[in-house]
Amino acid sequence: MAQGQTKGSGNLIVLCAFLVGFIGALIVGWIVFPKVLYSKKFQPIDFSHESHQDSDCESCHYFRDDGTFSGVPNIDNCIECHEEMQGDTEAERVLVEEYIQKDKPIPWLIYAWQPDNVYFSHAPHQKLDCVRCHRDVSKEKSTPPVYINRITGYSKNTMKMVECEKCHAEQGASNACQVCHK
Amino acid sequence: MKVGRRAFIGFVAGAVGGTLLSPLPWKLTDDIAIWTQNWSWRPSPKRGHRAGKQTLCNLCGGACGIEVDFINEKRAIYVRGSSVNPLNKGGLCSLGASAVQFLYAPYRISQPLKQTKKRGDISGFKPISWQEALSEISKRLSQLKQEGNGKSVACISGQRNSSIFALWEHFFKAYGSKNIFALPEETDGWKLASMSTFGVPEPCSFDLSRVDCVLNFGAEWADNWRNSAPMARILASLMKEKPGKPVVEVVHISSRLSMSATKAKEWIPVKPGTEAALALGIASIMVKENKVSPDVVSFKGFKKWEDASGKTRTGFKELLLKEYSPDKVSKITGVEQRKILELARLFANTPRAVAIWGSGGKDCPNNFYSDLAFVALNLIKGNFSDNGPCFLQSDPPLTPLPEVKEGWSDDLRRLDEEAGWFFPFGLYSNAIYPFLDALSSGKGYPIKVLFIQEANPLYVLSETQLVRDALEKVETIIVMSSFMDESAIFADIILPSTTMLERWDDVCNISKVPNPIYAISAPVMEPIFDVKHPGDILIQIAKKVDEQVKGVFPWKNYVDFLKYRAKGIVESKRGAIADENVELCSQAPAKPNYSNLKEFLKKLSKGYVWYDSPEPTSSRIKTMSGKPEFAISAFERSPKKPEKDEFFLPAYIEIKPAGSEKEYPLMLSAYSCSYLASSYVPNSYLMMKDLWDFQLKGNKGFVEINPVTARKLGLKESSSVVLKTMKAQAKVLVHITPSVPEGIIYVPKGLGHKAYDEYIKDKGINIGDLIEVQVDPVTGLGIEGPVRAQLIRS
Repeated sequence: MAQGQTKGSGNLIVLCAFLVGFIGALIVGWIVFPKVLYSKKFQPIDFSHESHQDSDCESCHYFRDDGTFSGVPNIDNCIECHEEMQGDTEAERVLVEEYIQKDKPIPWLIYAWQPDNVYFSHAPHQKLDCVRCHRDVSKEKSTPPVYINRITGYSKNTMKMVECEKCHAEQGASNACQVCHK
Repeated sequence: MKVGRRAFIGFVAGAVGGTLLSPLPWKLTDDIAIWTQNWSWRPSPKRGHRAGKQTLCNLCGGACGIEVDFINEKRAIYVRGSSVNPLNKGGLCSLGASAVQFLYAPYRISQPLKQTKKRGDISGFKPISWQEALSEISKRLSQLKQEGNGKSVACISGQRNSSIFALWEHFFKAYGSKNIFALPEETDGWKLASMSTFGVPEPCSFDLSRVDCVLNFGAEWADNWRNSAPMARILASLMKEKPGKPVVEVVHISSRLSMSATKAKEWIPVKPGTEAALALGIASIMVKENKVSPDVVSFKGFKKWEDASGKTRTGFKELLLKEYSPDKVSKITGVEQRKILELARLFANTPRAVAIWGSGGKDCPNNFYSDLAFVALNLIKGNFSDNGPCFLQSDPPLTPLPEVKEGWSDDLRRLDEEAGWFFPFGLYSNAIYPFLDALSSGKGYPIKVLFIQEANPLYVLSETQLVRDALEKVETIIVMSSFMDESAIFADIILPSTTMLERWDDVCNISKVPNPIYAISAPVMEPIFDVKHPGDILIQIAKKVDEQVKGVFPWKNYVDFLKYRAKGIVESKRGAIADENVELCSQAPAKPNYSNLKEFLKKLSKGYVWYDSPEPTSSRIKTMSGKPEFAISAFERSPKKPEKDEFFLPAYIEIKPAGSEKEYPLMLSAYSCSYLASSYVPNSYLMMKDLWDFQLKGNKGFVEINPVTARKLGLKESSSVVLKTMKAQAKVLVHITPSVPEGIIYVPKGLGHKAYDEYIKDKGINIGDLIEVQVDPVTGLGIEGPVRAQLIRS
């Protein structure tokens, strides 16, 4: 009996040790690891999409005449309205004094920087909603931080190939390698 | 509590299980795989913040707006056409798209160099400091000037449409030499045709935004009818069908089925070099059917006219009816009489029809009489009237340069004049070939110092051997170039220059556009090497030569000089800064939208352009009669007068090539492509990749011949042959194509370099080595017409 009790407590210890290891690994894998893996960076200007609701998306994010996409706007766009201060926010002060008046480009951080071996063009994807791939920014009061993967150097939001393939399959577009990798 | 072996194993098993159920191993594996893409030795653009900077591209002498993308504001990576510029509106040619490749090219020169061995030996160049180089040059120039030998200094510049050419002219005027030349351009001839017809050396230009019909006599506007991007845009807009607007009738007349010909509504093949005869044939029918503009009757030379000596000479009307009847023109050109009549009636009956012309894409001057013939056809149509589509291109109102009091003396003559060459239009002519001929043959006086500013004449000019012979006679050759090109290798001192993205430049007028234009190409980065702008070099040298020259160079540097020039426009309160919404060709009045020089320069440095409304031709005319003239009045004042009356009028004058037809039964001609550069800037790596495999295979270049010619010679596609002319011979491959006429060999311009790097050097053949240049007896310009050639199987 005494031997049986010893064996039972031993199993309990093993179970506890297993659970400690298991839960600990889950905590490390799900909570600690992502925090360690990504560095957190903030945009140079706290841009509010909500404050710009009076403008169309295309005023700043537009297709050029040659079919390329302008992507994130820079001071050439901003200067059209913000050559002088319009309000009294700190973000606008930084924009006008630090960038527009100094004729310096804004070093925006890119949320969806694609690897060099991917040739992505916005032009054939014009019919899709922007939110199919990008976050919905329409009600965003401030710009979220950008998380950069310490190993790869890419942003946390950089889309994975599987997402591209899934959508291509749904839309009936080719998933051949050379469509995206030249 | 004692943790035993089993508990430890349990812990590890739990940890392993937990890890496997977490993203850690899977994400880590994936990320490591991605990390391997970023190994440092893998060629990849530098990563960082990407942002564009606006400026202007002037690589071809044009003024296209561009946006240059940078990584972390330092590394330029990409160039695209900017939509803010009304000339290119987002379009860009392959030369402009290669600006970054030129910037970082391995053949760039990074510091001043001096030749220490035999001229032409690249291993003999040793670095010297800027101070040493400039001091040596200015001492030599001071010495020559003190000896009264200023005329022995010469310059060949490759930048004609920029203020730097005006700065060179200013320097030479103050220094006392007339030997300043530029690389030849098609519009060199146009200026002299205008000089003859309108009394001003202002080239013709066209408002193509409001035409219904274009007769295009060899203007390769889909390829290289400067400037590429704006011309391609204009051509595309003419071709575009719009509801309610008839498509513009574009008829292309040329001997080769070029890219421009394929885009036209109709292609009329003619015998090479006979386009002017067809233009006169059309004019003849218009005269015969009384469809000429009523005012031309009063223009000097249209009817019988009296020259200065009182002799009555044949009028243009009579000449047309007698010599250019459809049957005669058909024999000259090979075009059916029926088609000539059809073309004449199309041109005469379409209210806004215009004739444009070019040199078949070679961008070299035409025969003087050919240019006159095309001007005459437009005159007869009434296209130079105040509401017509043709204009004379006037200059923007830039500040004039300071007056040079002790300038050129009365007895000072250019080397070619001293050597016995004489041309009725010599004073206004860019007679570079007669200059080189005089230099190579040792006639006239010796040239002690020759500046070559971003021109590379040893490649760009035809008759390479003549150019080489001429340069060998020069005591000291000073080359200002960004690249180790053929001419830089042949230099005694190399002064390395900045590239477009690193420097300030301006553009004064755009070829073929009727509006006065001014634009500024601002730097988007600091120079990456120890290099200087040629304008800064010239100003520094001028200040050291002597007090007299220094006195007329009040500028601190080239930027200061550009501000001085631009101030004239601001003070004139003329014109406006155009954006993409302005249609430049239109004659809508431009109202100033700038208030001061600072604002003006700030806007222009972002790729915008200043423009003014084109001036009506009637306000530009400065002939004795106050009207356009068909008669060539310059001959009346010339000591050498032609015998025949037809030489006093626009005519088709065939310049026969040298050599016997028996020995050289074929004719050789050059053609240009938009993806080949044949001027100072070489083909970029991007452009070399654009070549077809029937233009270049490995290092072998091709000639294009007609299937009938191939059959007669027993040649097949890719046969290896020797192309031989009176000047040289070269091994080539054959490309058989019906797009070239029978008996003619076509070779692309822009290949066969003997410098740069392995991707450009020895690729194909340089047609300039094989061609013989004929000097136009009226203008002194070099004409690169077809030459006699033969193909020998090898």
